[in-house]
Amino acid sequence: MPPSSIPVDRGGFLTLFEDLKDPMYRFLYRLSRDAHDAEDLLQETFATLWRKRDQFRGEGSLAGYVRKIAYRTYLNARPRLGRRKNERPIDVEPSARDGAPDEWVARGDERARRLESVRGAVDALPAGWREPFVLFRYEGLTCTEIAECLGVTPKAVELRLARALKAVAARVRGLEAASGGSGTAA
Amino acid sequence: MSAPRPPLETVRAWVEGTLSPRDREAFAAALAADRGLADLVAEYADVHAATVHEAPACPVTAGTLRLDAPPVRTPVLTWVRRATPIAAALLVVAGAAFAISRMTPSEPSLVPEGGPLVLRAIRAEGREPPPAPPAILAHYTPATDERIAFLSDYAEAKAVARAASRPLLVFLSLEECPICRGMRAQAFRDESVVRAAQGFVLAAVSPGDLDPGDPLLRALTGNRWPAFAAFDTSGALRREHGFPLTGVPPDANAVADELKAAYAALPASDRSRPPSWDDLHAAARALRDADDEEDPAARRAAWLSVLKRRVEGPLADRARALLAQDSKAAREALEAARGIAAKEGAAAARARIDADLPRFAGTPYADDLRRVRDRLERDGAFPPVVLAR
Repeated sequence: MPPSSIPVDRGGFLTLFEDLKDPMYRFLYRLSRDAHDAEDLLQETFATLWRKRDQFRGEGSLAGYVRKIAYRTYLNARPRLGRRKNERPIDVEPSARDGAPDEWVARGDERARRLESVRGAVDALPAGWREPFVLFRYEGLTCTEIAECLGVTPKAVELRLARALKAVAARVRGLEAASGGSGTAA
Repeated sequence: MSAPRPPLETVRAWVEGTLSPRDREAFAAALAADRGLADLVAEYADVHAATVHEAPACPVTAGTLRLDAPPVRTPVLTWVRRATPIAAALLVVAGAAFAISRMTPSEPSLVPEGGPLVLRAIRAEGREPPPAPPAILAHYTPATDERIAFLSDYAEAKAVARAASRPLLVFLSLEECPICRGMRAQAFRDESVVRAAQGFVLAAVSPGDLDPGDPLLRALTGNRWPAFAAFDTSGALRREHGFPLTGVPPDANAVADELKAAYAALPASDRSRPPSWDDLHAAARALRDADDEEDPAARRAAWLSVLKRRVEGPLADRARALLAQDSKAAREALEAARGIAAKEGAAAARARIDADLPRFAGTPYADDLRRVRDRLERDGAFPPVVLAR
């Protein structure tokens, strides 16, 4: 459990870093879609947090505050990230914990191929849809928390999420139809 | 009571199995009853299962974290990119505001046949003008030939002060009084006195011309003679001061000091940038010339010239009211033509407008009347009109 304020001493701050680094790294990885970019962004995020450690006023959760800094860091870096030509492939190994559909488990490679294809659909979403979708799907944030992070209204988040969901669902169902699958996998 | 949870959050919790048993039961019932909700759940479940993408483990450790790394500067291009939409929006707004400010009422040819005719000059309002300023305002100044000059007619002086929006300074004195004569010969010729009097309209009044209860006479109590009294532009008495009766005329310094004290006693609004005497003379002359002018266009030009001078107050009010009266006359001509059109037909109405046109020659009212006449000719009926605003 992270503390409710930012430690001003280096030792305490590094403990806070250990508590938050994994969720923040995942968050930045989902946004940037690149492990190396996510690493750089994480460095920048915590360096910023260290410089501004006396500015947190205890409004909202500390994790939310750090996430906002991380998101702003990502926004500032987005133009240079987008210009990078040598994008590296990312790990596509599925998680057993998430419970993949049985028929995909049976078909090994085919499942990985589908996951990759759906990831492509998520990556291809406009940034305005993709970012709330990532925060909702992978970070488990509520619409209100996402709105706070992105600086928009909760209604706008709901609308963007609905559009992103429709777009990704269309891709998933298209793949299902192409392979003669059954559809719902829950 | 907390705000209701948006459906998508509940759907996510259902699909992820994190709903409480009670909520799960309620949601299952809702799911059975609502086909749309069932479709949404199916859609989200598909997406949820197909977007299982594990992120790699975080490679950064407390040991490799560089806390003191300098902040990464945002590239100039990024700032430009961020500022561009704002600058573009400002430009669009400014352009729209400029275009709107340049818009003029639609040409008649753009108005659908039978539709209302939008007039450009003839307006609805019309009001009585304030009285003409006294003729002397066309050349009055508080100092001539390097000495201050008093108007001897108190009523006229008050009218000049009112028309000029200037304070009035009354000199309570007598022509035959040697002290007063001494002041006129000495102090009133002094440069400092002439300068201090420039803000006022000046009047010399004999106490015998005032009612016995006139508040001006208070200045003379306590063996004081002669005296000054200052009125602000609204006509309120602001200061009265009598000089101690010593047998010799007050010197220039005492008179100049009193004029300055009287001016300082006025409200700030009377002291801040009063209209210049040049502007007042020109405006008064233009109003006088307009009264004698036969040509409607020249008369209108004279009134408009008053509004170009910095003479806000009765002179500008009179010019505006006279302009509005012309508009009222044109509107009455229009109404008369409308009545004739109803009784005698379009041709008679056109003839009436033609007869009235010379009264407005060279003014925008004539243009409006001609446009109505043209519509009468085209439609054979008096058109609906929208007065200018």
